Amino acid sequence: MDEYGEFRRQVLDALRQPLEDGCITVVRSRWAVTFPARFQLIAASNPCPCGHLGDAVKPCVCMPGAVAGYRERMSGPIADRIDLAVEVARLAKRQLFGQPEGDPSAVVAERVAAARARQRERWRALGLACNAEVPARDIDVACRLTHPARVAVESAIETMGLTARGAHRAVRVARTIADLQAADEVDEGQMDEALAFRVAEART
Amino acid sequence: MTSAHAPTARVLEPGDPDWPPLLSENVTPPVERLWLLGAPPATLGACVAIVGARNCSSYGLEIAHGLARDLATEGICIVSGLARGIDAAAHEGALAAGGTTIAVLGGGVDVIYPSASKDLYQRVLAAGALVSEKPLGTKPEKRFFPERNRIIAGLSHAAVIVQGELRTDGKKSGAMITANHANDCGRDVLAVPGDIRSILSAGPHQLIREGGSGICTGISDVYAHCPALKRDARRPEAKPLPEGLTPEQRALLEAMMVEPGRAEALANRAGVDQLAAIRVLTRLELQGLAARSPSGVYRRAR
Repeated sequence: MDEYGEFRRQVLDALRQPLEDGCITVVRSRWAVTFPARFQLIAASNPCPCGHLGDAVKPCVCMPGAVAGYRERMSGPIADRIDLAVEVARLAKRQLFGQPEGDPSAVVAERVAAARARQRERWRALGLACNAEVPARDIDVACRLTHPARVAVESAIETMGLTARGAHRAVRVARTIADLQAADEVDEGQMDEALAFRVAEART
Repeated sequence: MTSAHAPTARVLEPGDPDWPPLLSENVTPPVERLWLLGAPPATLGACVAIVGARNCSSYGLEIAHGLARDLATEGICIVSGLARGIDAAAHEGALAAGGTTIAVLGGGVDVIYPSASKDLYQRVLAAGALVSEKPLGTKPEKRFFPERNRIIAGLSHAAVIVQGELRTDGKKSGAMITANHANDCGRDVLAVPGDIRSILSAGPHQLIREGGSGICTGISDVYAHCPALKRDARRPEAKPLPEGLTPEQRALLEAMMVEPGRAEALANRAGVDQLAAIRVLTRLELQGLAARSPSGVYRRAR
């Protein structure tokens, strides 16, 4: 979804059931049908109607109320179900051309495949395929959080205002970060990194 | 525009015990009458005006709010014009501190303008006063605002200009008019510097450059310029960084003190690896040493 902030609220709220349950139920007068709807949501939005909130170069010229109204489209329940939020800042001129920094896609793909393999291996006994499917119960033990990592996610509930769902989702992301680094346990740094990906609207 | 139903307004004239004495000092043309809703200005404490552009930036909003809050915390009453942008942020800052604030209106005190400020209007009334030299029911007209600004200046010991354009058509922005009035009535004028690339900084920078205005980087500058506000003029030291920080935490906090920014910008400024910076910034946030805005900008927490 491009320009998430421009969609109608009703449309956005309709995403809640499929995001949570992986299916969507259509009810008509005499019947209700449930369709499978497992999908990955990728959405982009400007930070505010003018697009410059937080920009280091151009000031935001939106009226304060307009920014709040725009950002309200990202409702708490939807924000809570988003695992990775990334702010994309203006590119400097020198970044527009020339060689991109970082690993080529082929190298990243290998790393991802290895992390998926680790997950399949770990969860095989439970009949699960990946970290996203790990149930909330005993998730800290199942995901092998170190003590400092657990303290970090617990304190985020207080300082960032994370919900229980948000905290569990952050643990799954931290587990995935650890898998990408071929680590058996989740340390504090990996947990901190996962917490940095929470959507602003899912924080206080 | 909405007409507020009637808490009773009073009419003050010079000589009335509730007439604000400062308003009779060097204000030209003199103010002959003042309609008042709320508490008499003289009971609200020494006043400082905080004014600026309607179309301001988030920087301006934040600074106006912060200055107003800090001054109001020390018992200073914040005077402004109830306009959106800087004016509204100044009133809000005073209210957030539980302080007092006065809105000087262009039309009658019972005519809420802009109508979007209705909620703010009510809260200003509850915590301070609304005043105007126009009779009840007067609808604001464009030409009323420049003269209204002399009352904002006249009520106050000092005027702080937060953001304002320098217009090329020979006309002056409201903030610059208020600065001129304040100068003319012998009040202290202070201007908050801004990003030199922003047109909103042109007004304040011009005041600092040529108008003999003071630079305002915090409330200690206001006190230093304006002895009438009576406060021991010790400058608060920058809050020292806590002990026991890692070198990366220290570097990132120092980078925020140069200028708040997103993770990437702070990492570059601090010379810290991007990935490490994301982790360290979260750690600082969890420790309450840094705060993150909804748009991902990190700043040092108060």
